Formats: sequence, structure tokens, C-alpha cells
Amino acid sequence: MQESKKIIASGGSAVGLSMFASFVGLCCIGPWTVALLGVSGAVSMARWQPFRPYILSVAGGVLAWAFWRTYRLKRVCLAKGCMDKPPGTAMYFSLWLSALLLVLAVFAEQLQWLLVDPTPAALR
Amino acid sequence: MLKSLVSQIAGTTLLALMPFAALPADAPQKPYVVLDKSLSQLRADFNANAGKVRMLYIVGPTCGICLRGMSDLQETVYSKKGDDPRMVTFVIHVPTLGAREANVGPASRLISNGHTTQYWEETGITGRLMQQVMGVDKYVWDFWAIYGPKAVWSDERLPPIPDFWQHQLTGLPPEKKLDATVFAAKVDEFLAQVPAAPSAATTAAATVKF
Repeated sequence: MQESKKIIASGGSAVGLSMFASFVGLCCIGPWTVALLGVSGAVSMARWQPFRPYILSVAGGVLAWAFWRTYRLKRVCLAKGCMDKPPGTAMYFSLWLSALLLVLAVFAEQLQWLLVDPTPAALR
Repeated sequence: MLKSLVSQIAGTTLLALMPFAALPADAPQKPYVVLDKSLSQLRADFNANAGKVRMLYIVGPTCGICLRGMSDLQETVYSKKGDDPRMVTFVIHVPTLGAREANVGPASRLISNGHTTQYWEETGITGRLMQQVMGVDKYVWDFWAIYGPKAVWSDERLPPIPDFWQHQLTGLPPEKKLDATVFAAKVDEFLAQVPAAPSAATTAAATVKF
């Protein structure tokens, strides 16, 4: 497998895991989970809640690996010319975007209470 | 000719009236009770069941964590002793996270037995009153309480202080987070204070002897 493909695969995994962890963390924002997934779907999603730290850790690990591969490849290419295609701007952009997503996912629970006030509207 | 006209008019009239005649019997019954902000119905139901163990839950029908709590309690408590007549449950759905009355029906299916009543309280005042009772500084919901057989709702507005409670909120004591196993054990403890109702066989035998 080409180096760049490995990086894309690991970056993509990190994005996927971050998004999943975010969805799990944001399960209580508005009625969207029940509207989209139904009551049983919302219950299933809420059951993933205890595993959020582990999902985020794996996502962080995969993303760190993708970063290391990308920047190592850049160094190798700079030092002795590159047989493989060097990492392009799009790859750096997607990696940093993934990192941003991961950070948002980590703070998803705190962010949701900034975005949504759960108190009934009549009592605010 | 006249006969046919009369029968046509009668038939048409009957057809026109049919929906009205059918309404009371065929109207779909709501699986929940709508409370007004005085909570008088809830208070009456609570006091009508004095002498029993009463559970009172304040939940949001669109909150995934609340729904998970209900599902967990259905598994650990109600699937095993849901038919126990010494135990009565009041589930109050409040409009947190923008929930609407339409959300109550599906959510109310998570805990279902003959001794559980589901309520929709559209102002959410229940949580505010419980907040006052508990003396905390945040709106109380996702809240799971047990009242022993001696508890009485004597105040006009405020519910009594729960004998045992758990929650799933941030900002309340973490050691009081809802744990369905601990909750079920507490229910058992309170049930032990209530004499078991005589079984049907015992009652029948007693009747024969008498």
C-alpha cells in the first residue's frame, strides 16, 4: 500500500471515530436523536456513552499515527528525494481538520450545554 | 318512491352521524395523563397510593440518557417485579430539550406495566418544584426518586423529599448517579417494609374457610 494511502486511511478512521464519539456525546442536544433514530435508537446511542473516552483515545492514537507518517514522509522527501508522491496540501488540510474535529468531540458534552439550555422554555 | 326517499334520507343521516357515534369508543386513548401546573392529579395519585412504595421519575422524552435510564430500570426493576401491587410508579415527562407532547407516547412505552402511570406536564414546573425541595441551584430532571410507604404529599405545591434518589445530571453529587442495580436493591429494601399482598389462592382459600 502506498504511504499516502495509509495516511489517508488512518486520517479517515480518526475522522470517523471522532464523528461517532461526537454523535454519542451530543445525544442530548434537542430532540434530534429521537426524531432521527427513534426511541430505541436513542437508547442504543446513549448506551455508547460510557465508551466515549475509549473511542476518543483510539481516534487520537490513529490521528497521531497519521500525523507522524505524514510529517515523517515530508522529512524523508526533503532529505533524499522522494520515490513516493509527497504529501500534498489537501492531506495536511484534512489532517488538521480531523484534529479539530477530534478536539470538538472531546469537548462535545461541555459544548452541548453552551449551545442548548435544557430548561423548559416556560421557566427560562 | 316516498319509501325510497325516506330510506335514502335516513341512510344519509345515519352515515353523517356515524363518526360522532363512533368517537367515544374509537378515539385512541393517550397512554399518558396530561397534568396542569397545579399538579393536583399527580398529588392525588401519589396520596391515593400511600402505604405502597412509590417511584417518581422526572424525565425528558427526547433525552437519550433519560430514555436509557428508563430502559435500564425496565430491565432491572419492572421486568422482574412490575406486577407487584405494592409498587407504584409515576413517570413525569417534562418539556426539556424542546420536547413536545408528541414525544411522550413513544417514550412512555419504555416502562409499561399496570402499576405505572405516565404524565405529560407541559410547563415543566415539576422539575422546578423538585429543585426547591432538593435545595439545588439547577433545574431538576433526569431524576429518579423512591418514596417509602409512609410518605405523604401534604404541601399544596411542593412534593415531599424523596427517601432515596438518583440522577443523571452534571453538577449534582456523582455518587448519586443512576445505577439501575443499586436502585433495584433500594426498591427491594422499601418493598420489605410493605406486607406482601395475599395471593389469589390464599384469598380464595380464606374465603372458603370463612
